[in-house]
Amino acid sequence: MKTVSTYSPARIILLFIALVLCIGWTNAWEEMMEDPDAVTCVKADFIQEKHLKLLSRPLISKGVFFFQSPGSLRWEYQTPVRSVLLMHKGKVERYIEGSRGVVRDSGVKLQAMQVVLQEISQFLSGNFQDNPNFKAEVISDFKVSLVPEDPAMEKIIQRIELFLSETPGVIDEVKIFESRDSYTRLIFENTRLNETIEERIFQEM
Amino acid sequence: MNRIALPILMAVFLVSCSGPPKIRPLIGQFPSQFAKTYPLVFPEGDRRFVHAIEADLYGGEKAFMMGVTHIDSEKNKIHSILMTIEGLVLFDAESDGEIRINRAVAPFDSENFAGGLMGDVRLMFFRPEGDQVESGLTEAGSWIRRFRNREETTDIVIHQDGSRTIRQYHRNRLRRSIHAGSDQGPGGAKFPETLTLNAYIRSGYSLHLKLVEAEPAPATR
Repeated sequence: MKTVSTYSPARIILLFIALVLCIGWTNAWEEMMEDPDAVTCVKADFIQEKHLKLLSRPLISKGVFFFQSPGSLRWEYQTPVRSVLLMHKGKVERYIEGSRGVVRDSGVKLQAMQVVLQEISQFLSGNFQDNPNFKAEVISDFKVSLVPEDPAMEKIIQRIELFLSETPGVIDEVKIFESRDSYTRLIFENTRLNETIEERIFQEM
Repeated sequence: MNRIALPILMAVFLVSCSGPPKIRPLIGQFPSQFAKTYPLVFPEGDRRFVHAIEADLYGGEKAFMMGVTHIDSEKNKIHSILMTIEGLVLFDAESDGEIRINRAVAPFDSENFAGGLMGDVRLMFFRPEGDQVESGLTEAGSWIRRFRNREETTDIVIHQDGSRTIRQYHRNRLRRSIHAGSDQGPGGAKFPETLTLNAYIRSGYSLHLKLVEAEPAPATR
């Protein structure tokens, strides 16, 4: 039996999102390091394909996300289940549309959130190489691979592949491999950089 | 114990104390509507389902997950995957009598959890074990079939509106109930769009399942 107990589900969920966001909104880390403030806001649509050996075709989810430095985030699924994760000014909330309307997800513990927020901030500042959890490797001009350093994390996520766009600051795709039978593919579309985002986007469902 | 947990515990106690209902004999044969609905209660052959799952847990906690279930009624096999809405697999296990856990993230990593989940899936999708011992009508006029296997009694009730309820009793005490709506799932699937399971145990819980996808058996695809 393969069990993983070091990471709570809440922490894993946030790490998962953090990894998606470690897209490093530039196609060169050095460029980001030289000018870390170049990208301050990001908006994009995304399609999430969940590939499982069990399913003949991937399970499709669609959504949008907004990010504004230093640490405001809205990660919203619109189908098949509406769910919104909000992070703003150190406060983290998650809302899900259930059978009896919108409810706050009590499964996401604030304590775990605080730890993960630090990791997310590190990722979003483009600081891949200093992250103790993942070893980053540039495969080509447009492909980066992240491999967990922590054996406990490796049992949850084997590796992540980031596919960067030719347009600086834009990512095309992220693949997160969990096991030989399961991986998640995120495809980003309509990415807009440095457009003004209203504060309420990070505060309201 | 908090203010939410106490009423839940009391409700669980009161409901679980009620034994199987009396069955009124039906004169003649079961109506055709029953005959039409009954085979749909337990899907035949090789089926795969994706459900959005909303769990009301003991103590007032709520959790949301996606569930992927592969059942094969002929081979008596279940493969169940629970994942977050973000797609991260938290639990992956198979059962063909014996349970094999392929992957489990705490707190889903106990044998008890795996056994309970497989039991719930089996109750939802598989014909009850044991023999049919009674059939007829409930007091409310719904059609009912009762199966018994040692200390376990399972009632399958089909209501006039096409919805159905499965109740499982252990030593005549209600342990689980499942209510399946009469609505059809997406894409013309011949399976209920909604399923609600209530577990009347000490740390009782409710699961609300909404069908997202139902894949047909490979042979008919």
